[in-house]
Amino acid sequence: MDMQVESRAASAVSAGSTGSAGSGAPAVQAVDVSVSVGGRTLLTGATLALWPGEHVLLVGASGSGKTTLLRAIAGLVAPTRGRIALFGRAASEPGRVLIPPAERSVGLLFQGAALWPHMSARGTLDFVLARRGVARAARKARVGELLELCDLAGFEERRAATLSGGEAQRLGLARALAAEPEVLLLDEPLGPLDAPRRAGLLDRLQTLQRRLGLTVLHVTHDPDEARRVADRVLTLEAGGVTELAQEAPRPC
Amino acid sequence: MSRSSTPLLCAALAALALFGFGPLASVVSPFLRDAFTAGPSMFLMDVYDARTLGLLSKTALLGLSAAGLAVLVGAPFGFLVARTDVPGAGFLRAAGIVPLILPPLVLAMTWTMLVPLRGPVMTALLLALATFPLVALFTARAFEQIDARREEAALLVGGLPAALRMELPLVLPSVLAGACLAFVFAVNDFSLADYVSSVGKKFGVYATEVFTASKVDGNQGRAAAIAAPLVGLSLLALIPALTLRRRGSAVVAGDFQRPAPLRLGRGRWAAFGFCALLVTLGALVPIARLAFEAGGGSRLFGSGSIRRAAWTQGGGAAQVVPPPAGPAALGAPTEQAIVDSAERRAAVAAAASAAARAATVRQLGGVAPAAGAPTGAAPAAGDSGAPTTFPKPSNSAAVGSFKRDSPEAVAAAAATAAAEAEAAAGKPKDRGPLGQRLAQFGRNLRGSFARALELSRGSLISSIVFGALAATLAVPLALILGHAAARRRRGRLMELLVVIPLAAPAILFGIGAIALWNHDLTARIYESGAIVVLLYVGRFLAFPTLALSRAAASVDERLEESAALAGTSASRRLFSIVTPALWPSLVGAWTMVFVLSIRELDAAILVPAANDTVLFRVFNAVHFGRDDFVSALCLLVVFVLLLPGLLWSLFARKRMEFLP
Repeated sequence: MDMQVESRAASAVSAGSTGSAGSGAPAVQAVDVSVSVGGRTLLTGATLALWPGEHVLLVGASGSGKTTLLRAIAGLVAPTRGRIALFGRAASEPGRVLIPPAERSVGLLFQGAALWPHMSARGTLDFVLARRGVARAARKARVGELLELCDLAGFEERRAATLSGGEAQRLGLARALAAEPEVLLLDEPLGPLDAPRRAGLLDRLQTLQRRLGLTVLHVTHDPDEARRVADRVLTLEAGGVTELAQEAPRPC
Repeated sequence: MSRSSTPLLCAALAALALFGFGPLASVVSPFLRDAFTAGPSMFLMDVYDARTLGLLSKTALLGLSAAGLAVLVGAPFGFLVARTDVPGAGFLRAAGIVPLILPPLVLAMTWTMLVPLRGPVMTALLLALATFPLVALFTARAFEQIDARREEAALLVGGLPAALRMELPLVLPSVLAGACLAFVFAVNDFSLADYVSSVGKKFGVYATEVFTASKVDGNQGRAAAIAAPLVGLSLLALIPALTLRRRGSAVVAGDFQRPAPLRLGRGRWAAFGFCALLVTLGALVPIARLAFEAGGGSRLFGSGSIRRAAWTQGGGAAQVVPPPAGPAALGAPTEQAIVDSAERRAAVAAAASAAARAATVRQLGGVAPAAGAPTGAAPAAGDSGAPTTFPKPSNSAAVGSFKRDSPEAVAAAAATAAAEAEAAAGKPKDRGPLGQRLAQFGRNLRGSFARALELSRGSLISSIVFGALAATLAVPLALILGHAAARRRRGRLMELLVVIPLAAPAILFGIGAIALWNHDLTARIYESGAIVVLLYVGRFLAFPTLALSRAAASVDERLEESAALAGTSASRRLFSIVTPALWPSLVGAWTMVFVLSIRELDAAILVPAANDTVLFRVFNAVHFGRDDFVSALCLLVVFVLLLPGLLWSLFARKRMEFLP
């Protein structure tokens, strides 16, 4: 395990847990996070830190716990051990989710998009915006912007079942962005796509990340293709996270 | 490639036609003949008067009320036990099915005893209690079929409220499908409504009208004509239920992720209270009350003012009966007293039974069952319950054809008065210390069960055998039909076909079964238990067929296609590839037919051979028998009904699948 990554993350979480949130804190810190569900261990001792505006690839073998780590960061599952902090604020501790998922400012693009099958593209985005308290009048324009942003203009009335793999992923991305997250978690976003569409979606992700200043944690099991848009590549193995390349180190 | 075997399908369809449509055709053909003879308009004007149509609208309202109430409590119950961290969710979920399994008559008997409410309101409440598990089960299944990631996407957006808001449209079709089935159950129910009506303010439901039409003048055509609007009403609910069930039943893909229980925080105990209350009202109270009565609890612990209307023949509502005297004060009447009382009442019952059955069979134009055929067991001490066709001597529709001054009615009234006087004569001054009464309660309980087992063993065995045979015959048919419905292009049409027998009132189905099998050529079937088994198969084939159709649709079609490429025949694929993948559903389908058969009363009430079934025995004993005997017998029935589920939960790891 990369000791530098671990010690930086540990100190950041420690600072966050005492309430000293502020600038300079990592966007996401996970320290020694383990997750077990029903007696089955899904993730063991993962430690990492993501800095604001970073695009980090997370690679690892099947079953190593990549998706579980994303879900833990999103607050969808509480760690059984370890702690998670977001922008210096303690977000999860063993057995407890301190900041509810909806209040974490985290967007998640699920593997396979996980679109709501009974809603159109417009309905999906409208639903998210309504939950975020956006006024009805503003929602229509915002839906248009999001669809435009994700190259889905003209798909307003299309339902999830009628979308191709790439379109579904882009709508999933638009749904994740609709909540205006500061951290975007991507779970195998390129999985169901062919080569040209992969390249297209990667370009779109890179543009959005720079334009919106997002911190991105991008799970993939094929880092070669995505490496060109990433600042760093971390690998998750049983027992922790190691950094494969440190192309753009950030100061603490 | 994965189509079902045509010869097997033809055989299954032929069985459906004979067992399911045969009885209906037997009553519809006289209806059509009469309609053509009299002229359709004259016939219709004769059959459907303002009263009949008013009754239909009242029955529809009763069904809507029951279904609405069932949704109101069943949908939250289903959600809470399936998707949240409510304490004891597994137990509550299993126990929540019990009200559906309990015979409606048992619910009616116990609750009318506890609550003074009567009339249509009580009936609607009881029907809601009996049918809410249907809505709950459909709701639970729908919530469980939502992929975890879809729910989590909504949780990220706005927490639990957003998740529920997103999921509501996904589960709504299933909730409505459950509500439609609850409606069908409610509008077709005869025994519960008739019972509540007979112990309180008289009111009619449409199923009662069908029953009355069938026996007042023995005109099957008229009975079928009367039943037609009810069939239409049922189909109006069943057809949407079929569509909604398909919409609500998502195909679970290979990468499906089961959602984790939602955390309710401090609200979980309130949720537990709600679920526990429903289980208590629907399952625990009726069972506990039966146990209490079986041990002579009201005599030992009650104030003596317990409402016995529901238990006393001809009693009417809210009749107060003092506790009995002497040894009977402790719930242990002398054997001689039992025999005397039993013999007197049994004689009445037997006379009434013979007269009524002979009249019914004559009216239906058939031959009377041969002597010694199982059309009425010998009068038995303890329950006094010689099975009679229409024994109810109160204002029940089931005795509507008896004249009030007939010898049977007079004898029954005399027996009632004697029994009540017998009970009132020896009110004890002191029932002894609590410990003694508890010990006596235990002895009474054992004694009641022993008597119930001794006197009704034959009926219990008959019911179990009939139910098991019906289930064993129905499941292979349902597998073939269900698989075809899932795989063939006209699957929906097939599903519609199988539910039609279910849409007909059970009473009409019973009349039809008699008309179909009561001929010289089929006399052996008519006089034996075979008619009961065939009646159950025809009546209930829809449930296992729909359940197995749904289960077959969830099996990856490529499994069968690969077997077909390997040269396997369609029938071999069905039994070697599909069947092993469906075994929890097959067991569930078997159990469903078994349970429905044992709790069936409405259709069986007219069929002589079904007079030897245990629920018929309960029906008789309610009117002519002792409370402790009736209660013990009901508990035995409940035990038999719950036994398959208990065995499954003990020995199987997977959940039994039985929902249509």
